[in-house]
This record gives sequence, structure tokens and C-alpha cells, in this order.
Amino acid sequence: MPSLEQLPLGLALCAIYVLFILMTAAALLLSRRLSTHKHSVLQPGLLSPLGSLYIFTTAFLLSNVIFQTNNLKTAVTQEVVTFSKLGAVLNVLPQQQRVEGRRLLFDYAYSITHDEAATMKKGLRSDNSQAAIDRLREFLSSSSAALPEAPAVTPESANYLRRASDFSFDLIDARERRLSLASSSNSPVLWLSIGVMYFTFAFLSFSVHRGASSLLWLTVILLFAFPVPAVMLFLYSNPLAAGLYDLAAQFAPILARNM
Amino acid sequence: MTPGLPRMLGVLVALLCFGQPQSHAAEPGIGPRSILIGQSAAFSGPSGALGREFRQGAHYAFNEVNARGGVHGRQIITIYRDDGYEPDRAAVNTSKFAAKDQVFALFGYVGTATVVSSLPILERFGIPLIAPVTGAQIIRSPVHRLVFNLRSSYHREIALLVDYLSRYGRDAIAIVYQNDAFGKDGLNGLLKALAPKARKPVAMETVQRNSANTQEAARRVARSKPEAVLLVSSYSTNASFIKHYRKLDTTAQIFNLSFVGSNALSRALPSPLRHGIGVSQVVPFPWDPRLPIVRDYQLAMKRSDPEAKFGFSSLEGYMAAQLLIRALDQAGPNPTRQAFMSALDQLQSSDIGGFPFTMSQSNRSGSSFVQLTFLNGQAGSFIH
Repeated sequence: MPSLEQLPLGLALCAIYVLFILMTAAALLLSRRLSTHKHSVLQPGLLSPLGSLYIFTTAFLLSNVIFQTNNLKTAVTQEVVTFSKLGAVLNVLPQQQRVEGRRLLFDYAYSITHDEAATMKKGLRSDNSQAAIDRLREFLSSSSAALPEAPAVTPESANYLRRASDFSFDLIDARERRLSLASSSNSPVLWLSIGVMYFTFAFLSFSVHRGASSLLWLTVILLFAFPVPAVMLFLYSNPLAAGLYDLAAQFAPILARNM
Repeated sequence: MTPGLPRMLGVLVALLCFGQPQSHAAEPGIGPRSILIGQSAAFSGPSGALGREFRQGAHYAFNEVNARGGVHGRQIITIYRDDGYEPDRAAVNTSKFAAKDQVFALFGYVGTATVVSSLPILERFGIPLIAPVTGAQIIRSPVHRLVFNLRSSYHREIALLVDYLSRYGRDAIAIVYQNDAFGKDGLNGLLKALAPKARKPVAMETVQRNSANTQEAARRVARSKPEAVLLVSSYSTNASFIKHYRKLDTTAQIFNLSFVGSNALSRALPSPLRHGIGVSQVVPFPWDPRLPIVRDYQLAMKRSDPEAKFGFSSLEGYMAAQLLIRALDQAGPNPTRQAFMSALDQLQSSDIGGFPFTMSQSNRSGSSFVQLTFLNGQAGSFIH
């Protein structure tokens, strides 16, 4: 549902509810029309399996997007850890090289919290973050990131080059993983399947119920309960935009550190 | 820790308890159970944080030694006078320290112009000044017989900055300097550092001490399109300049000297403007406890106030106080100013908790330690 993602969160949620209301109204009208023509041969016993099918389908879809959100959290945590490791490993460099390396590293972290955290809500990568990580890569690929002479071997300085290299590539990988996992997992086909199932369930429910009061309560229950999995699916499909996950807050401890 | 009435009352109570020092000993400021030390610095006004943070660090050291019984049984009592970073007020304060309070030594004066204005009074009364918070050449070369520096010079700081900037390809440097002895020392330092590269600053603008009127300087510097801007003033003026300068859509790397008051500068700037601002430092990184002096400082601070925040100025105050305490200790049980100054000169190449410095009759430059730090936008933290 790409068009929904372009809307502000509140408006998108309203749009989802409006769609459900429209489907409910359509199901009600259709059921009344068929009922008038005495074509209805539907049995109430069909409601139970259809309801279960709706629940299982939405639960399956929801579990998938929640799993993806958890993967995103893990990836961001790993990225933050890699930041910390790279900052620490630069400690063995002489002062000017060390501070330049850390400055570029923290510039990149800062660009994520102040730029990419915002662009990712729209499913986009940030040009500023790209420029920042490019500058960091340029530094790490230059002689500025190399030790001018062999340092005394300590646990901190051991295998500096290999570790710095590993962490820098890990950092690049972590960004790509984060961007990939944060991209919206909304699929029009999934939404269509939910819509079709809901419409069918609503139509069946209206067809087997009689009486104004009964129909009123049925409509209320349908509109209160059944859009919830869809709303959850929408929110978890893009957790950054939905505010379920604050990327900037994950990087805040890194930027608050005196290093 | 707030200055003011409670502390002054404390000093008065201590004076009453320990008696008038000069009535028991011939040496000014030395009582049977007390040693009087004076500090004139900015404790209020636009540069007030400079003195407050330094004093906070020094107090941790003095409190510790006093709690252990003092130096040779004498408690160190400090008297503070606020000069607001104004030379005239500093001179008046120094006169009061000398004639009225009759302090044994002066300590931690903040600022070049304030120290310079006090030098004639120091000379007249023969009072030593320990660890002034200035890196100006005027009290280093030629050596002043009464001034004992601990921190490195501004010229060293600027040389390091220029070296760093050249290394990473930023040679077009502008300078904005305070229109007094401090600023001119900074300007001379930059000209000296650029001379071997046959370069000159692309812009040289002045600002007034304790002033936030920096709009015009920012506009002129922006017009010269520098790759880096060196600010030689205190935090309030520099913060004002940075705000005006960044409004002009500029991206030049901004550097400050250690005197700026790093924590105060960080607090004075909004988060987005804070990020990436460079500050040279003359003390070790206060958050890195691998150096014994930093570890001691952190422990002393946490013992006194678990909520206290580490900082460069308070660490400098702590280290300066440790130097003073060591010299007082080595001056013996009946210290005289002469013995005290000799003790300082005899330190030669020494260190305070792993922080090396040189002190002798012919070299009072103190430390040559300089490092670069950058501010982080988020929480005003530092990287080094």
C-alpha cells in the first residue's frame, strides 16, 4: 500500500478505517440486496471457519512484520556496538589521526540521528549520511588510519589493522542491513487478501443476521475489532514512521559518550 | 558548588578559629594552623563559568588535603574575589589580597589581561602566582620570577591546530580574536604557526571581551570563505560568534583555544551548532581514568558530589591545586614565600600523577601537553 505510506500517520490510520467502513457498508448493502431477492442460502455455521481463517491469516502476516521489526532492532543494536568498537580501536592511533578518525565516525553517527532517522521514515536513505560514511571510508582507506610505527603490543593495540578493517566493513554492512530491514514490508497483495477476507466475513455476518438492533451491534463489533490486525500490520510494516521504534534514541548513548 | 556568601562566611569562621595569621608568624598568610591563598577570577558575568569550574576542581583537592590534616598541620584556606574577567577589577582584587588579606600566594587567576594588570602589584608585594589560567607568552617569555605556569602556552595550542588543519587540507584559516592581550597573543601565535608555510590568515577580526556583539565579525569572516576559523575569546563571545556565523550558511571548521571554557561553550550552544566544534586542550581527557591524576580527580569529585560532571576546567583547577599543595609541602613546616618558590623551582622535570611539566628558575613554562577535542552535538560530550 505505497500510497498510504506517503500520508501522515494519523491520516493513514483514518484512511484504513474509512476503507473498512466502506467495505462494511458494501457488504451490508449487498447482503440486503441478496436477502430481498431471497437468494440467500448461507448458513451461520460458516462464520466460525471464516473468522478463524481471517484471524490466522492476519496473525501470520503480523508475526512476519513483528519479526522483521525485531530484526531491525537487532541490526541497529549491532550497528551501535560496531560504532563503539571502531571508536575504541582508533585509540591506538597518534593523537591527530585518532581525533580525526573519531570526528568522522561521530559525524556519521550524528548524521544518522539527525538526518537518516528522518529520511528512513519515508523509506529513503540520507544523502548526508552517505557523504559522512564516504568520508569515514576515505579516512580509513588512507595512510591517516595507519600506524606510523609499530606500537607496543597490548590487548588494545593487537591486530589494529585487521580489527579496524573488520569494524569499518561491518559498519557499512550494518547500515545496508538497517536500511533494508526498515524498508516497508507492505504488499498490496497482502492488503487485498485481508480486504477480500474481511468483506466476505462481513457479508456473511450480515446475511445471517436479522433485525435492526442485531445489525447495528454487528456493525459496531466488526468495525471495532476487525480493523485492529490491519492497523497493527500497517504500523509494524513501517515501525520507524509509526513511532514504534526510535532510531535516533538508539544512537543517543553513543553520542553522549565522552570518548 | 555555588560561590558567594556561604563560602565567604566559611572563610571568616576559619579565620576566627585559626586566628590572624600574621599575628603568629612573620610570613604573610601563614598562621599557626592556616595558609591563606587568594584567587581572583571571573565567578560571575558572561565569563563566570571559567572561574567557577576551575575553583570547583581546586576545591576538591584542597578539601582532600585539609581533611587529612592539611599541609604540615596547616589548613589551606582560599579567599576568592570576583573580577568578572575585567583587568581593572582584577588589579583591585590583587591589591586587597596583598594589603588587606595578606595572602601567602595567589592562585588560578583566570585570563591574560587580568594577570597582566596584576603583575605590578605582585612585584610590589613579592607575592607568587601559581598556575594562572592563561597560556600567554607575556608571562612565559621572558620568565617572570613570581609566576609559575602549569598549563601549556597558547602558541603551542595554535601550532597544533594549524598542523592538524594543514594535515587534513584546510589551509585557509581566519582568526577572530579578543581585542586585548589574550587575543593579540593568539594572533601572534597564528602568524607564527603559519609563517613556515608562507601563509597568512585569510581574515583577522576583533571582538570585545565579555561581548556578544559578534555579528559584524561573523559577516566579514564568512565573506573571506575560510576553511577553518580560530576563535580566541571566552565561551560567551565565541558562542555568540558561532551562532551568527552559522546563520550565514557556512561550514568552516571552527576551533577554540582551551581558555574558552569547554563545558561552558557546550552549554552556551544549541545542539545542532555544537556538533563538530573543535577545542584544543591543555589538560588530559577528564573522562579517561588511565592517567593517575585523572583517576584521582574523578574519585575526588565523586566523593564530594556524586552528581558532579567532569570537565577540563575543573580538572585544571584540581591539577593546579595539587601543584600548590606539593610545593607547600616541600617548602617545609615553616614556609616562607622564598622557600615556597624555591620548592617550585626545584621540581625541575616532574609530573603530577603522570602529567609531566617543567619548572625551574629558567623555565616556568610548565607543561607542553596539548590535545585536540571535538564537541558532540547530542549531549555536549567530547571526543579526543
